[in-house]
Amino acid sequence: MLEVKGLQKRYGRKKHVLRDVTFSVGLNEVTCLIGLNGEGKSTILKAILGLIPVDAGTVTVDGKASHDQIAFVPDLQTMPSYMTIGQALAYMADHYPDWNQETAERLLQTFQLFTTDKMANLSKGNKAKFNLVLGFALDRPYILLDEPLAGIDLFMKEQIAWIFSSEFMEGRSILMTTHEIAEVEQVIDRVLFLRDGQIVEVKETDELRGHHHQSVQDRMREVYQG
Amino acid sequence: MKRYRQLLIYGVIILITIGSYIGYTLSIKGADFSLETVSGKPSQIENFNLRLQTKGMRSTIYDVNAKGDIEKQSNSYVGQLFREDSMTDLPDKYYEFTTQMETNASSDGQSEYAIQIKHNKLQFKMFTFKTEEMFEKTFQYDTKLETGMDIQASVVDKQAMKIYIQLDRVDQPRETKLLVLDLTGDRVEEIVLQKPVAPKHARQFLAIHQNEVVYTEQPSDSDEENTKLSYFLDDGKSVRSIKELNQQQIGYTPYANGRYLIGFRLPEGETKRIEWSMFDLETKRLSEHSVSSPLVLKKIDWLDSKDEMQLYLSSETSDGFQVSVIDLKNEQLMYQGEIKDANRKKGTRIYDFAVQ
Amino acid sequence: MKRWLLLTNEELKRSTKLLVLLISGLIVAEIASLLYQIYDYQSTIEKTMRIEQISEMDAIARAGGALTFAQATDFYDSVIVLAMGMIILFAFWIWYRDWMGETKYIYRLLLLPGSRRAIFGSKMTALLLVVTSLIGIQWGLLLLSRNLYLWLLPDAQQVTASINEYSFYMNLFYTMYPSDILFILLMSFIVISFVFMTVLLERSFRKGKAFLLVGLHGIALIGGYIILGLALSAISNDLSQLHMQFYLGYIVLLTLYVSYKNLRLVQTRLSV
Repeated sequence: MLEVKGLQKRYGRKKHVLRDVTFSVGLNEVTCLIGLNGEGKSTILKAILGLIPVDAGTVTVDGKASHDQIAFVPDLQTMPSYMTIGQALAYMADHYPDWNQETAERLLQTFQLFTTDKMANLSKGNKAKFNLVLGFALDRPYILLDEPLAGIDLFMKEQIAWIFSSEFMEGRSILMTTHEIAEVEQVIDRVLFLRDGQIVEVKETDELRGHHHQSVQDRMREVYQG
Repeated sequence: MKRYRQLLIYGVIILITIGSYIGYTLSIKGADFSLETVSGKPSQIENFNLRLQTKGMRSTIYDVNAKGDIEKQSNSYVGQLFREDSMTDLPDKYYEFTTQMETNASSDGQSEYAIQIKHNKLQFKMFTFKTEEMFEKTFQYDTKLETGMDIQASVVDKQAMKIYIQLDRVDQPRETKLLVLDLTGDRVEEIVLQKPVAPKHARQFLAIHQNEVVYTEQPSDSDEENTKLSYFLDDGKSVRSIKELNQQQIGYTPYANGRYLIGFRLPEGETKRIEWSMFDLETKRLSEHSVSSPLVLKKIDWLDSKDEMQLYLSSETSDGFQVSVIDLKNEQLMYQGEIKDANRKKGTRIYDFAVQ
Repeated sequence: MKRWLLLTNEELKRSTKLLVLLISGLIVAEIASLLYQIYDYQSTIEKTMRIEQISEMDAIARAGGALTFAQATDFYDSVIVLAMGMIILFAFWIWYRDWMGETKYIYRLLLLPGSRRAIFGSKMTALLLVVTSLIGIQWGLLLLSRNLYLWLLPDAQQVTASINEYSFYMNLFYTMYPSDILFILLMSFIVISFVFMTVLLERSFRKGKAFLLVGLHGIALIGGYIILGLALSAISNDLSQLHMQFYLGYIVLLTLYVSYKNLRLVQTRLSV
């Protein structure tokens, strides 16, 4: 289990971005972190991965405070532009002992990306898909995704969204942030609502649909618009 | 290998270029100096230090002393940083005084002197190199002038317990004075001279011998290099121009407590003779002297002397360098040693020479 | 070790275009300046001979003597100073480029498994390798220049004996004591460490605090010289003669401290 306890982050003296954020992500779950723009969703993901320092709080995976069970799919390109996809994969293989080349190649095939493609020439959608490859090809149980569907066209979105119900999800847990609720609502198991730097509500989607007869978007309106 | 391609490229570039640089530097041969006595015995002279510098690539400094010890000093950055210069260990009290802005310092090879005139007091400190002793005394001296501002004080000579000081007034060369300090008492006396400083001239005190004062005067605003010096002798009653010295074109320095004024004739080119003129202040007679050298001397530039009428002289020779010690009183060559380089490097020059 | 080498290789790879530009610029500028100086001198001599109707020897005397090697390579000092400036800019850029532009390579670096020390180490190593190769390439250029000088100028117009007399920076770098290259690299390491410290502080803290911390280190650097001088003079005259030596030791210690802080910043405070 990925446990986040008491995360606090301040910018300057007054701006509290995160206030005592506590939640957990169990195995084989798809958790979605929801909030309006600027609420700190990306900040939480980055804090979990140690990409930004926090003022307080801990992150553990099965009790251990290390990041090597967590993979990250950011919403921007992280590989140098001069690299080809093949070179980027070789880079990952060189640095990560838990890199799975076979998984990477299968994903490339699925997404119709080629090792000779240059990073600089990839479209926005292909960049997003390649980021998924880099994340999912690591043999790690927890994958954090930051806005995986942002700014791409409908067909690409469908291709990407497909991954959450594919074989690549076996033995994995997902924590993602997204505004494109509709595209992924069906695969989400749990929703965390973030407001004013705090988790104000946690809901299982089954409970929302079954008990409250609400979609996630309906619940969102209630939480943020009162 | 492909993953480390850039590293390998840089590695190869560095290996080839820096490697060739290192190979080149190691191929440069240093000098191999040795000192050979040509005449006399090194035990009879004071120790000297001849500092030679090889030229060109990998310039190195070599120190040669009278015993024939050769010490090499690396000119690398680390070597330069930690090079031991034969610096005298001046006591802190002396050093602090001498480095003050209002203090005038002068030296004469045996000692260092520091004088400060301020608030009607003359502070005098002296450090003798050989004994490493410091002497200090403060005298009453009524004057509105101060060293470091209006006046400049320098020691002309020290004879037993008397110190003769030249006091120059800044921008007023006609106000030059000669003072004498009695170190056993507490008096500062001015030696009044019979003749004022000639207009537009500057005076330099040279020697004091039994109440006779020798000084030179030369035009103070002359741009010429070889301005003629006029020599004067003042015995307290009258002053006369020393024609014998005026006629010469060489400079004179005092020896043996100011009794003798000796001027050396050192030719520009090669010579096997060292000639000098000596003016005896007791007999008032000028005599010529010379000593012949077994070695051919070239470019004689380095001289040092001891007050016991000994001249230490260093120059180049046809095969290297030499150090000679001349007994000026008895007109004898006491010692001559030749320093040769077995590797015959060109361009080596004398960096420094001093008696220790 | 492997990570450090791989990351260093990557830093060099990412900088290839920039470095090829820098190095070839250096080579072209220097050779061109040498050729120009030689051409300019020769044409002056020829012109003087033609107009004044005098011999080559007289024309050379009129021009102030034959062209020495130091004169022919006069421009090299400026090129070297420029190169040194470029290295310092590169020391800033090697970090900042990871945050700038569309690609945020800093994410990739900070996400890598293992210690983040390798990130710092790889950037420092890359820079020192560049500095060393520049020194080496400049040496090669110097040898080439000497040969060009001897070959292009007629005997009367050159001062062959001056072939080993270099301009100021050449003398500084090519002292003919191989150990001095290590000394130069130490100086480079010191300068680069302080540049890295500035970048890392700026990237880890708010502008105000970062500025303050950089300022404090600057004060330590300069103030150290003054305070050390005063302290040594107060203790003894002998020690005050060794002011520079002590200051160098102080700088080395300060750099070690700065390096330690730099590593700590990369490990704990550096943020995307």
